[in-house]
Amino acid sequence: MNPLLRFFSGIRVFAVFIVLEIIAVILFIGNSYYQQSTILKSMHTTWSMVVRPVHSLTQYFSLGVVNRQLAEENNRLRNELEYLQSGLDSAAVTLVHDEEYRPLYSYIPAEIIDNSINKQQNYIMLNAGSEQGVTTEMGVITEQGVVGIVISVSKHYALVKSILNTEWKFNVRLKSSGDFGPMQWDGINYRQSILSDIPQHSNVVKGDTVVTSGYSRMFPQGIPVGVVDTAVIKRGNFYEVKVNLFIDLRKAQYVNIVNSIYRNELDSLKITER
Amino acid sequence: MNRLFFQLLALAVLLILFQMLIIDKLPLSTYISPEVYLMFILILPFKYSTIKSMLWAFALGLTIDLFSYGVLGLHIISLVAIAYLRPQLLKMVTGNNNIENIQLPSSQTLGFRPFLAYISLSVCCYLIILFCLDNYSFHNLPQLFQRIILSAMTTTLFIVVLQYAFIGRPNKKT
Repeated sequence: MNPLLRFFSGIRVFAVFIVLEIIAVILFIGNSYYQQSTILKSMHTTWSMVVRPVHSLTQYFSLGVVNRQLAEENNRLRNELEYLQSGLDSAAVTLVHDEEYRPLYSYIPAEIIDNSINKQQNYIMLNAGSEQGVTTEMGVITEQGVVGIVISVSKHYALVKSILNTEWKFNVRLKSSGDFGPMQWDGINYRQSILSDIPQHSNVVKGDTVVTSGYSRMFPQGIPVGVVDTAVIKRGNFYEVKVNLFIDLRKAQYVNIVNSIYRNELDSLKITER
Repeated sequence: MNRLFFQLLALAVLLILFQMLIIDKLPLSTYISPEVYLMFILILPFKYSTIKSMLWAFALGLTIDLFSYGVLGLHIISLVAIAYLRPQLLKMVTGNNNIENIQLPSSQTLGFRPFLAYISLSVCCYLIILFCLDNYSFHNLPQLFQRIILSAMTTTLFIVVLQYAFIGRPNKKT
C-alpha cells in the first residue's frame, strides 16, 4: 500500500476509535441515577423473558434448601404466635380494633429471578412490580437478613441494589452496645461486609449481632444482618468492623419487600422541617 | 449485509447468552469473573477492517452494559479499546511474518502457542481496563491484581476451550 494512503487510513481508524470512545465515556460519566433507572426499566421486560424460563428450570435444584428454611420459619412463627396468644389470654384485655393498632410495616412476597455476586456492583431482579404495590426505595429482606433496596420498578418486576454493591450504604446497630454506623460492602468477600464509624470507646465484641437500626424506615428495626468478626481502628478514632453476613446471596430465593406504611407521612414531615 | 455479517451476529448472540445464562450463574468466587464474550472480538477474521470491528465492539459492549444492570459505557470503553489494539496485538504475537495468509486467528492457523499468547495478552489488557474502570480508583491494589489475574486465567481457559468447540475444524467460517 502507498505509505501516504496507509497513513490516512491509520488516521481514519484512529478518528473512529476516538469518536466511539468519547461516546462511551460520555455515557459512562453522565450515568445519572435517573438515566440508569429509566433505561433499566425498559430493559426489564425484555431481559426477564430470557431469564424466566432459565430460572424456572434452575429453581428446582434448590427446592430442598428452600423447603427446610420455610419449615423452620413456619415453626418459629408458630411458636411466637402461641406465646403471644397465651400472653393475650392471661392479660384478658379486649382488643380494641382502633387506628392505634395499625402495624408499621407490611410485606410483599417476591422471588429472585436474576442475581449476581461476582461483580463490584451487584443487582437482583425480583418478580414483583408496581402491580403488587412495590415502589422504589423499599427494603428487601429474607428470614436470614437484609438483601438490598429497590431502585427501579416496572409493572411486574423490580430491580434491587444488592447488599453486595459497593455503592450502597445503610444504617445498622450493634445489638449489645447500641452503637450504630453505616454498613457498606468492600467488594471482596460475598459473605462479609464492613461496618464503619463505630466510636473507639465502645466495646466491640467478636460474635456480637449486627441488626438494622430502623432509622431510615426502609427496614424495620432489629432485622438481623450478621455477626462481628474482627474490629480494627482506622482513620483515628473509629472502628472498622468486619461483619460476617447471615445471608448467603448465592442461595437466597424467596424474599420479602418491606412496605413502610407511614413512609409518606414521615417523608412529608422531613420536608416541612427544612 | 452478507453471509459473514449474519454469521457474526449469530456468534455474538450465542456468546452473550452463554455468558449471561451459564458463565454468570456459575458458583464462582468474587475474584473470578470470566468475560467470555470478549472472544467475539478476538476471533474476527484477520483482514476484517478495524473500523468495522470497533463498531461491532461498540454494539457488543452496549448490549452487555444494558443487560448487566451496571454502569453504561463500562464494557463499551473496554471492548472498543481492545478492537483498536487487536491488529497490533496480533502483529506482536505472529512477529509480522506471513500475516497475509491468515484468515481467522485460531490455534490451527497461528499455532497453539502464539494463539495462547495472543488470547491471554488481549484478555489481560481487556480486564485491566475493565476492572480499573469498575473500581473507579486504585485504592485496593492487591485485591484488584488478584481479581485481574484469576479472571484472566479463567477467561483465557474458557476462550481456548470454546475456540476448539466453535472452530475446531479449520476454515469452517470465512
